[in-house]
Amino acid sequence: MRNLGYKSALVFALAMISAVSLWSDVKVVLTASKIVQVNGNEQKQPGDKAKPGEVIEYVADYKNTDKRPVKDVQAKLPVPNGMEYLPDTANPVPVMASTDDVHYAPVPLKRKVKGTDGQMKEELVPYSEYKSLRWDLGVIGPEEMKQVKARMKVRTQSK
Amino acid sequence: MRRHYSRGGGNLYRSLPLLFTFLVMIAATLFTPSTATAQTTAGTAIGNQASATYTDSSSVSRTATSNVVTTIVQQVASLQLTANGAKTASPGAPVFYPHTLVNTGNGSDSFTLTLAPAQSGAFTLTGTHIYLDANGDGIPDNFTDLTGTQVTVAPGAVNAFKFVITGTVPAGATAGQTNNFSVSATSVFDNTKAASNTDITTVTANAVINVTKSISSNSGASPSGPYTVTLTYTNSGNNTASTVNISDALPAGMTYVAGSGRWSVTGATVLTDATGDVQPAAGSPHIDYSVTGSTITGIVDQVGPGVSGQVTLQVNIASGVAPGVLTNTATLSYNDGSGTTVNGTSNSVNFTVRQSASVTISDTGVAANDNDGTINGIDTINSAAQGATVTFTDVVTNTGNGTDSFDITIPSNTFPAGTVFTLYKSDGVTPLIDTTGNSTPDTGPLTVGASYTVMVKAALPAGASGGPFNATVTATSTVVGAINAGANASMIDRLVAITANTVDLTNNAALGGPGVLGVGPGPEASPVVTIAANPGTTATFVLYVNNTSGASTADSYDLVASSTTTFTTSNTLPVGWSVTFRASLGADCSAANFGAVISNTGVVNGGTAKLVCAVVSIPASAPAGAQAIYFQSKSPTSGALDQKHDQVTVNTIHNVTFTPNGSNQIFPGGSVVYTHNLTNNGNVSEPITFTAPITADNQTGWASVLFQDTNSNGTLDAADVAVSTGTTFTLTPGQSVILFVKVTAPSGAAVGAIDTTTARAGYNATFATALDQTTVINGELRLLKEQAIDATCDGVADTAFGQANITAGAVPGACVIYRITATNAGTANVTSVVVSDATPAFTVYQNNPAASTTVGTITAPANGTAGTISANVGTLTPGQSAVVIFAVKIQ
Repeated sequence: MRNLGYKSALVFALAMISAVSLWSDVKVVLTASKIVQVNGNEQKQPGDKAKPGEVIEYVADYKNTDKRPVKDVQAKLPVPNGMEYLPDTANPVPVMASTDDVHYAPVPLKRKVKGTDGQMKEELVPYSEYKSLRWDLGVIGPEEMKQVKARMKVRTQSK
Repeated sequence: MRRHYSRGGGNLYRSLPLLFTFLVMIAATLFTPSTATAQTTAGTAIGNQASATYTDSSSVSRTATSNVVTTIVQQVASLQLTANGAKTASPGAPVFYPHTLVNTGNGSDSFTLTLAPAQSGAFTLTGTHIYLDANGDGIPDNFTDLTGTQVTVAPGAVNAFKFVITGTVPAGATAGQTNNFSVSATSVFDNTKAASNTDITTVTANAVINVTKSISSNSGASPSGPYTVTLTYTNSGNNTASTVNISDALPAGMTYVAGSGRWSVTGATVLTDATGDVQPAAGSPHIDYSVTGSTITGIVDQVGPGVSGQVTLQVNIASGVAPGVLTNTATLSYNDGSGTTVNGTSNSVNFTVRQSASVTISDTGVAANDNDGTINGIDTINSAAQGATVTFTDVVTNTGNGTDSFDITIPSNTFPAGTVFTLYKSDGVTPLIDTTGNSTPDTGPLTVGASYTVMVKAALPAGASGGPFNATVTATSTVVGAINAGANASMIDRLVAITANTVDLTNNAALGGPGVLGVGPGPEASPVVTIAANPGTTATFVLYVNNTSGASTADSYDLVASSTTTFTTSNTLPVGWSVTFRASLGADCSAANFGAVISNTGVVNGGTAKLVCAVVSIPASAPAGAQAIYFQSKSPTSGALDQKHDQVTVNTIHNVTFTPNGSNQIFPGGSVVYTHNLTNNGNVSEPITFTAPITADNQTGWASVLFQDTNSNGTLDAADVAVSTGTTFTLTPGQSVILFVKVTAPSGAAVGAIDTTTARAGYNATFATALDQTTVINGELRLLKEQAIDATCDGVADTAFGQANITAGAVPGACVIYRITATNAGTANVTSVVVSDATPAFTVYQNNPAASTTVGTITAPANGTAGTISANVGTLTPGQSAVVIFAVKIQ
């Protein structure tokens, strides 16, 4: 309960500086939990505090509150500054990612670079450069919900 | 600061209102150049917000965003202590070992500096101390001992804490003996985190050369300079050192200034940078000073005991050097006089290359999102509808020399009041949030030369139009400690025009529909639709409110009617007229489809129309002719309006009445007067004419005459003029005049004969007629009723009795006294005469004076009640009168 109060107060303060909420049929609720290993078992703890290197799992619920279906739903989950996407933790799959918040491609991202021999070659984009994830959820039926989640690590090296 | 933070978790919960302020304070205090921070800074609030784009059931593309969740980065302690040292020293001489403590944690921390209580080795240093060496020249800045104290160090190499530990070799120590001496630093935040260095001192009887290094400034920009590097050597040993080789390899980013070498022995003489030439050319001591690549070497042929000297040189900081710390340590070798070569190092000197913040922000020059198509510092959008949201595309570029995040603000704008600006990431969907802990949304870290596109959305208020409107968008560097901290750049987001919403009010059909009338702006000069109707009825106009704004621009409209082109917020119509607007339950304005009474259309989407039925109620008294009706639809938000000119033509109604019909009794040869009202009940003025016969009697020998009540006193008297065929006058609608019909029976009229008199007045090619029926009787009883006011109800009439209306004093509480005179005007007795009257409406019987009759008996209601007064007069002889008096009180 105390944790909740603490988080709520902070969310409120930050919300004031972000966007005005837009009217919509689809309600999005995002939660953050810290994933810790206790005696070899995974445990979820409140995600309001974490040390560098600790893992946060973001879960976003997309609920269609309307009586009619919505379609072409694209869910976006940023990889915030200070966090780094952990590979193979996005759910569902497939998932797409972007390094510029604009252009998305299937994970893992690849890019062409010029090798030391002057030849263009393909290499994987480091996960630390991912800036956001995107899922194409398609149709969400009336009063139905779809969920996406992914884990990220608090950076041990500042970007 | 650390103490506050480490206990902050508990305090935060107990002091929620202070939380956010507190966190901001921490973030602002602790934020350091990111390139120098080992880990994500403690206290950083990592916010995240999910979003979605989707297409709703109306095929409209929409956006949804989640709540913001925030993770506060917690502090972890970490430190690095450098370096282990090794020196030779003479017995009785002091030794100095420089050390550097770097906080490699993610938050400010304090560290306890301690010297190991036990030294190991063949001898023990005496007088051991820890001294501050803030400028890193290897020499104590002062002699305040820091042993056992806590020093606070911010994270990062930039904030490295430099100190010197010192001790004295006992005089009795002998050559070859060694001593191990340790210093440690322990984190106060997490005392499991500690580090130590060990310095090894070896006693020698020969030369001992120490070199210390310093630089004239410990920080500067890239490029900058020159800075003077001073290498000081001292022989604290007891023998002459030879081939004292001091070498300084400059770190990358630091460049040597050619010909800048000087030696304390040769003073101002410039040392040559070439190898192999000694200066001075003859004698000793001399130096072979040379520069190879970025390594400067000075070889002094000999340094006697107690002798010291300095080599100085100059360096520049090259351009393009990333912000950070350049660390430099000189190396040393010499022959200690015994033929043994001793190696050593100087203290290490840090030079902080300070970040230089610089930023540009510009438009794209791409016509699709910058309508002027050129990069000119103005992102131009040509037009937008009222209430629309305009998106500007602004590109922020880091032109500084280090990673930087840039706050995006809109410090000023000339947009209409009520415009809401919102910042989004490059996708235009995800809100731009703060990542630096200063509460202002920013781009997030941009590496050198990197660009980020910020989407600025301006949600326009509904009612504004015009333009152009400018908003200044500013990008401001957030890096702390930069040479030009707070560097910023601005551009303009310009909306050239807000296109006003429009509406078209049409009759009978929507725009483009069959039979549509009144297309285009009104009010029209002539009525578009005219409906003819009788007074007292209604006329229904079929109106369509067409939203002619852009397809995506919904609006709503207030409905109001007026008889002129001047409108107020309510209907403005002639007396008796009214208009109600009704929604239609179907596709027309038949009465069966009348829906709710409305004064506003509700939302009308752009490009669509709303059917409204305007029901005009015409008063019964409405004069014949045209009545203009103007309708207006006006948006209360955008002000879009149109007016419509329609008309009701009130039909002409001719209706004159001649009332009431009368009946009376007369004796043969007598006459009687009937009073009639000639009234215009139509809605046009009626010229009244009289044509023969003006009056007609259906009994032979009877005569009748029609008189005007010329003096309007309600009584036929000498002043009143008989109507003739030449008489004409006009009655306006509602006007009434009194006409008298005087009927005279012939003296030979038979008792019981009945005469019907027809009087007529001509109008509109017809006649209004009144019929009076007169019966001849033998005994003719005439009744005369008169009245007088008794204002105080004292039983005495205040005035004479008369037939005239009482025009003053007949107020509630006053009394009226009636006098009825029954006279036998005939020639024979009238028998069984009963005179009856009743208390008029709104009066009650008043027994002062008590009801009375001069002949016979009388009954009356109880005092104060309504009822009938009845006088049983009995027989009246010819010429005899009975006078009945009673009073009433007005309630």
